[in-house]
Amino acid sequence: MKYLPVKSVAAVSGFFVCSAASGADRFPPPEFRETGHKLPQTVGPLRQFPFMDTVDIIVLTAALAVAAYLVLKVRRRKWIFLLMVLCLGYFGFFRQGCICPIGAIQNTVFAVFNGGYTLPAVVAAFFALPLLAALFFGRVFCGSVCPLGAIQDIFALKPVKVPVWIAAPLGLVPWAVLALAVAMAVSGAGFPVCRWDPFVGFFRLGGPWRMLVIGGLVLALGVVVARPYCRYLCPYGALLGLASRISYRRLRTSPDECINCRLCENSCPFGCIREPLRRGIYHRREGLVKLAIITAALPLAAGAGLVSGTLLGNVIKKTHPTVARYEKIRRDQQLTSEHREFTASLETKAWQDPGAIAMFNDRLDSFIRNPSWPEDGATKELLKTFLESGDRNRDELRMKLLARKAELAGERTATAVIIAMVFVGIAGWIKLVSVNLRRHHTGHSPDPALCFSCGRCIESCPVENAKRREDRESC
Amino acid sequence: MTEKNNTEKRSNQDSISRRDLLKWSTRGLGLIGLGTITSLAMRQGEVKAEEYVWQIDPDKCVQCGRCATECVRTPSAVKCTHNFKMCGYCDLCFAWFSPVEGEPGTGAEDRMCPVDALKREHVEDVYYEYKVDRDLCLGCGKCVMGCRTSGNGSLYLQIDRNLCMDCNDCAIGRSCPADAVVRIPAGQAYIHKGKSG
Repeated sequence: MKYLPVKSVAAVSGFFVCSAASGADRFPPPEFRETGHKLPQTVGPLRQFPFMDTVDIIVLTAALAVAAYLVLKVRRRKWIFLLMVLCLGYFGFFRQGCICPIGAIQNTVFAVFNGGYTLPAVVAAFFALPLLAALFFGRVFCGSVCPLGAIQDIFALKPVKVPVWIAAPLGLVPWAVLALAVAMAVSGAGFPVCRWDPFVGFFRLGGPWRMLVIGGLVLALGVVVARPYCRYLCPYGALLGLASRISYRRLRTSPDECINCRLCENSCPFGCIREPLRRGIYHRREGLVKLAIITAALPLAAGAGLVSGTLLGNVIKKTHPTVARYEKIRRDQQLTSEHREFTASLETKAWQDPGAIAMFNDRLDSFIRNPSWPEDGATKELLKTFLESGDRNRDELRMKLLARKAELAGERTATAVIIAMVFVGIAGWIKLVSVNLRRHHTGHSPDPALCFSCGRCIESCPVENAKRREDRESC
Repeated sequence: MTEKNNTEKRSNQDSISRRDLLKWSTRGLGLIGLGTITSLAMRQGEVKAEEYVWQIDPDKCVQCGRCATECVRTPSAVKCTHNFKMCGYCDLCFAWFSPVEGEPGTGAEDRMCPVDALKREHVEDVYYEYKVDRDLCLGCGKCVMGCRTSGNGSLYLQIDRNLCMDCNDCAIGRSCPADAVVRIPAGQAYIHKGKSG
């Protein structure tokens, strides 16, 4: 199937003499004097439900409000689970996983850095509302509303405890995903979070095999490692964790004083229950050595980010559509003309298409008549040399302009990736600092940054159960 | 004893309120940051759009055939569209008849369309009207190629707004060799070929 179009392109363009004219009236349209036939309208079907955006915003707001109420006031896992399933049905299978806040991060930064794109209201709402909710009520979005979280939550059947030495460094991955997604969105290299969304294929009940295989693997892993995407990949979860850390209120396991029975530890499939930390005796000398090591690690972390960013930037810049297209055309130009006939990529065929060349010539003609110089210095230089040479070698100019465009896109991507990786290095350093800070607290409680507000620990708490019994009896 | 208790209580309250102040100011900073980013993103750009849609620029399209294979939908959300005002209503239509023998098992051997999605009806004299059955069309662009190279170019490929899933990262757009897939405000869609859509 994949090769069919290529063959037909070769066959057709070989059979006919290609003409540069596009939309030429080779055959004048008839007037239909005899029958008075009326021309039908050109069909362009419109959206069936044009108001879905508004509905989405309303449903999201309502779901977040109900989730906060259930997590903070009702405190019953079964109701939270029900809301989660309903939201999986609506945002997942009915709205087919698009739009979601995880992808909306990219649109938001793309809009900030790109003059031609304004963030639509529905995308802004999906980006901002869950974060706003997290600032006040914790990560209620993750546990009850997010369809990607819900589908994994259902598959979390036999969760195992992930050792700290694996979990802590893996906790940095969401920040790396966030930084790289932002870098790629800003530089126009695409929206990687959406392209590699593991579950959208399930929501649409079909899709490219790559999407379905990755989704299946993540779900299979999710049977033993609960919510693997949420914990070790989701870039929006990283932001929500940050907001939840300073949230006004959030889920509490015990309604009253914790009795340290440790039942909640086993109930949490995500391993985010914090043990109590008593005020210990610290040696001043030990602390100073630690401080010195950690301070020395900052330039190291930033340097590691710089190096890995440079290496990664060179790889990622090749995935930029403009760069990839130019590379294919450039490679084919090195082939002999005979070879090119048979092995050239579709990109080269499109590049040599008479219509495309005619379009370029039209644009160049209008430029010569009325020059409006581009901002980029090198592009300007190219056009100047061309004009001075007296309108010769248009093909060469066309290729050079494309090369410059690809170069610019590549540079932009590489720089953005370097900045992103330095940010990841510094984020890693902050993580190191926070691991070494020992803030004492009593009782078992969910980690404010990691808790998804799923409500499982509440059900396991004997204090809560005793309170419920009391309430029932007093009724 | 009571006095000591009282001072302890007060100092406790003080420390709690200091922590609260810190928390509220961080929260406030978070709110301001969130508001700034979102409003910046919503104010950027000349066109205020309620939504964006993917469309094909028919002048740039070279009918490479990837629309049929790359779309996340099967069959593709790209459909052949017809601008009747540009059509010559030819009997010998190059979008209808195939110059080479078709592959066995794909429609009629002498037809361009592999799935018989292009229909024709006699109008008068030597003139035939061509219509696309959008339910059958694969978006392969073979008829479009025939019409463009040897006819008036009245057929063109366009993304059906009712079928398009609005993927943030359009799979066709990424792989388009002619850079013909563009994201435009919904108000500007459809991009039709020719002046008179």
